[in-house]
This record gives sequence, C-alpha cells and structure tokens, in this order.
Amino acid sequence: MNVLEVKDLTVQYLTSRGRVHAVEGISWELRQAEALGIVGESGCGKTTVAMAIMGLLPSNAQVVEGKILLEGRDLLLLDAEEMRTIRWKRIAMVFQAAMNALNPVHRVGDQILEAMMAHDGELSEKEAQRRLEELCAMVGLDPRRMKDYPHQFSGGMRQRAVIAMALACNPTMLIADEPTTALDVMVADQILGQLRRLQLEMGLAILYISHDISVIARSCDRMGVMYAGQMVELGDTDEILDRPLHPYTRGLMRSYPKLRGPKTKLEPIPGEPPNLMDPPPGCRFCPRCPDKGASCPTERPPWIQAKEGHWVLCHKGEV
Amino acid sequence: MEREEREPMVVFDEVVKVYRATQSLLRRSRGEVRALDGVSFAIQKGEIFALVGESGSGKTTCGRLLVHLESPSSGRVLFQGQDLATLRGRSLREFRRRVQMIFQDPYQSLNPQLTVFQTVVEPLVVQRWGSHEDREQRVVEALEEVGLRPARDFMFRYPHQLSGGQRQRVAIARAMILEPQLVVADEPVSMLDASIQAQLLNMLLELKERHSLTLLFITHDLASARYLADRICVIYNGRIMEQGPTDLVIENPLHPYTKALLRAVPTVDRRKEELPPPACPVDSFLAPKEAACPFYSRCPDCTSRCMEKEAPLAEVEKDHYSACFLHYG
Repeated sequence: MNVLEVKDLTVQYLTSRGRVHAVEGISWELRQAEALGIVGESGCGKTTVAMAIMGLLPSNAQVVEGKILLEGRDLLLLDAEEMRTIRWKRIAMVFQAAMNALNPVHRVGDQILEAMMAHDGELSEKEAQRRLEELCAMVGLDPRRMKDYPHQFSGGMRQRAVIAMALACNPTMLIADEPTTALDVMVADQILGQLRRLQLEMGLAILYISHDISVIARSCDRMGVMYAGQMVELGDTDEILDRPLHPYTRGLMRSYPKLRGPKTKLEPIPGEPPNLMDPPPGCRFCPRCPDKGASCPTERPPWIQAKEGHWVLCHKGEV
Repeated sequence: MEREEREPMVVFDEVVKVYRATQSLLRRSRGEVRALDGVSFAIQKGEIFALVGESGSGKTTCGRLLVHLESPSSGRVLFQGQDLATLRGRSLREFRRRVQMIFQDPYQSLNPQLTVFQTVVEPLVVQRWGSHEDREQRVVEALEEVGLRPARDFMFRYPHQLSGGQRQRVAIARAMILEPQLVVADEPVSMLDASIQAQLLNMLLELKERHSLTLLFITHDLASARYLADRICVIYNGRIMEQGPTDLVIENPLHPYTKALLRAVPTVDRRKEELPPPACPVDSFLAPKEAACPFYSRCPDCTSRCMEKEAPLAEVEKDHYSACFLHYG
C-alpha cells in the first residue's frame, strides 16, 4: 500500500535569466510506515520535490508535468482551500532549521496547542492538553517544560518541539527536510533515533531529505539519489549502499571520509554540477562521469529496473 | 629526547578566554562566559593538528587566538617560541605574513565588491611585496595551484559569479599567497557539498605536502579530522578532553566524551536501525558546576568525584592524553 506516489514530476522555475529545469521526470512511491530517503547535493531539486508535495512552491515555479497522488488523489489538482485540509492533517513537514522558526514571544506549549487547534476546531481544551502530553512523550520532551519560551530551550529541544508540532494533527506522513543539519552530532543522533522510533512504533511514513548519505543510511528503508534535478538511482538502502549502480552514487560514496576501517584516499567526483538553466542534453552527469560511453553526451539515459526494486538512470544500467 | 629537540611551532599554555556578555537595554548583565578554560597543547612543525568539538566548545576561539585576532584573558599563546602578546610593529607584521586563516563560510569571507584578483593580491599589497607584474604573476600561480585554471578565466570575476567550492578555493589562494608557515583552517569545508568537500580536503593535503605547511584544522567532523590530521585534540566546553595521535583517538578512544561522540557520528556503515534506544531526557547544556568535569551531567561513567573537580589531562598511553578520573584508578 502506498501512502504517496510521485509520477513523472517535472518542475521548472521561471527566473529573469531563464528557465531552470529544477526537477525532471521523477517517480517514486512512499509505502505505508516506511522511511524513504532522498539524498542529493545542493541544487539537485530535493527540496523542490518536498515543496511540490506540500503545495508550497514559490509563485515562479511551474509544475510542467506529473502527478502527486495521496491515496489516489492528485494533490496538484487541489485548490488552496482543499490543500489546507491536507497539509498538517495528512502530510506534515519539518523544515530545514525549523527550530529557529518558533515564535520567541510565545510559550512553546502554547505554540504546539495552537497548531493543534487551528487544524481541529472541535478539540476541547482538556483533550488538547492531553494530546500535548502525548506529543511530548513521543518526541522526548519534558511536559513540564511546555511553559518555557523557545530561548530557554537548547537547539535540540527546539527541534523536538517543532517535530511535536508537526505531529500535532496525527498526520499519515511526515517530510523531514534536513531535520538535523544544524544540530550537534550527539543531539542529531538522538533526534534521528526518536524519528526512527516514531516510524517503527507508530507506523508513521517518513520522507527524509538530506545532503548527508550517512543520515539516510541510518534512518531509511529505501533511498533515492538525486542529481541535477533527476532521480538517478532508487532502491533498498542496503542494496544501493553495498552495490551502487549509478556512477554518481559511487562517486558520492567515495567522497565521504570514513570513520572506521582502513583509511583510503578520497576520490572526489571531478568538476561541479551543471547549470540547470542549460543542462547537458544527454545524461546530466555525463560531463563528470568516469564511465561515460558514446551515447551518453547526446542521448537521455533510460530509467531501468536493474534488479527487483532497484532502479537506475544510466545507459549502462544493466551491468 | 627527540621531542625536546624539536621546538613546537605553536604552544598554547594554560590559555583562558573569558567573554563578558554585553549589556543591552533589556538584559543587564549575564555574567561571563569562559570560552576556554585552561587549554594547553603544542603543534609541531609540519603536522596537521585537528581541534574537534561541538558548537560552543571553544574550538573557533582557539583559532582566533592563534591568528592573534584576539588575546587570551590569561595564559600565553606562543608562535615559534614567541608570545603573541609581545608582538609589535615589524615583528607583528612578520607574524601576519607567516600565519594565515581560512574561514568557514566562503559566502561571507570574501568581499563581494572585489574581484578574485583584488582579493588574492591584497595580502601582497599590504606586505609591499614585489612589483605590479610580479604580483600578477604570483596571483596567477596561486589561483592555478588551488585548481582555478586557467587563472585568467577567474581573475576578473566577482564572488557572486562563483560556486561555493570556487569561492573557498579563492579564500585558500589568498591565504597561501604569502607562503605562510602556519594555516588555521576553521571548518573550511563544512558549508560545501560532499563531492566538493572531498576535492578540497585532498587539496589541503597536497598544499601541506608541497609547502611543508603546518595546519590547525578546526572541525566538528571526526571523519574529516581522521582523514587529514596527524593528531586530534577533542575539546568540550572550553576544556581538552582527549588528545593523541589520530589512529589512537579514533580506534582506542579513552574519554567517555570521545566515545559518546564516536558512537553518535552517523556513517554509511550504520544501517537501518531496528529500534534505537530511547534518548536520555537530558538533552545538552546542563550548566556544569564550576570546576566539575564539563561532561559529567551526560557521562555514563560519572561518579561523585567528577562533580567536585575535573580530572587533569593524563598520559594514558604514549602521547595519548585523556582528562578523566577513569584513568586514575
């Protein structure tokens, strides 16, 4: 059973300098109670995908093609009012550096209660208070601290509060966009552990978005790799990390210094990502690819299922 | 024996740095913050010394003290045997030539109104180095060395016309142009994408070899510290917790803090956790009592002794130091 299906999604931005091909023809599905991670470097389009799902694309963005199906219903066809009923109640999102978005002059607990009431007008104060305590337990906050103001919280506690707020309306799925990027290692570790518990124990489907492959490795059942607006590889996390098929995924994995095992020389991917105003006509990774063939510069690579459930966008994908 | 003969390039001697919180209209005085609390270490010539810590640990303060952007509240910082506090006039100018810094954020550290050429040539002008032609030649060399080739394509661009990785290369070229002996690199790659990070880490290693540089590498990332550094110093709350050769610190961490840090680092080898243990309710920033071990409130091995005083750094195995009572038996 799929919670969310993204089909052939293509998003472009119109800017004064031209049309940016930000997301091109990507498809994936988020299954019930699973964690799916999208990893990619800045500008690869991963946040654009999240914003498209939430219906929060900026006004210069154009969805050229595609569907986003939530239990069979295309979110892209909904009007603003209908979308409002979906957002937070069905799909909630924890934004990048969201902990800084808490209102400094309101108590943390009041802000979470407000999120609850705004989306469920029939909730009594008593029920809301009980729900607040549940939420605190879910994210690992001391309910007695709910009377505090955000500045009395550490960064990690603020991030927990923001996650509690996202869960306030009991959503079916959560989008976590770089949920721990601004946090210290140990705090980040706790938050990722907490999110994993929520997913496994409560059956919450989570879409993780991160630039950090190790965050995805640890938290996600399946993962997708994006490069220059395209999904270049999709499959089971272990399968991709142990047997990456796309040259970009392989290059990315060789770019991270390792903390364990023998010390090996990093082999960075040469060059930089292409300008998405004028992406390469064939494979977008071709200019940086060590394994490119004759057709790669001119022909678009096919999206191939190389193995059961393991997809790759590459001319040499069948290897 | 050998160690005594080699004079360290840098010595931090019981350095304390106290910042006084500024008074504002709403808040009067919030007292003082001890950013560094008695920090001592030495950096040998030609080594890469990594200072690893979380935010607020004092690692950046160490870097700023070493390039003499700030002065210690007490204790001394020595460069080639000379106390930075005594530098004046010519000797200060000479120090500024020999020691350079690379900052974290290449979006903020470059002046947006200067071209790449102007940014990179500036130190030469300040130091009154060579003729105009010599300087131009030198800038071309420096840019090509950091991988901005051909240099003429980049020299007249402004920062906004460069990618993050290219900007950081410009910042490195500027730092390298006076052929410094010591470079302080404060999180030089943490703002960049992984593939670009790897390019720059390799470049720092090459520069170090080619110019026999000494490098203070300040980072929150243990994996990149392991990749670059000869020795690692772990700092927490303004105090050194552990220090030693890289392989020993990573493979045989002694201090509970280092152990916790190493456990927490996500790696690609750590997969799809089944059910992580519930987090302990203490999140961080439980203000430790004065003179207690700064880690005691989060430490699994904490004893009553740890709350009363901190353990001094002890050499547990050769060259490998840890500040914990565990090692005192």
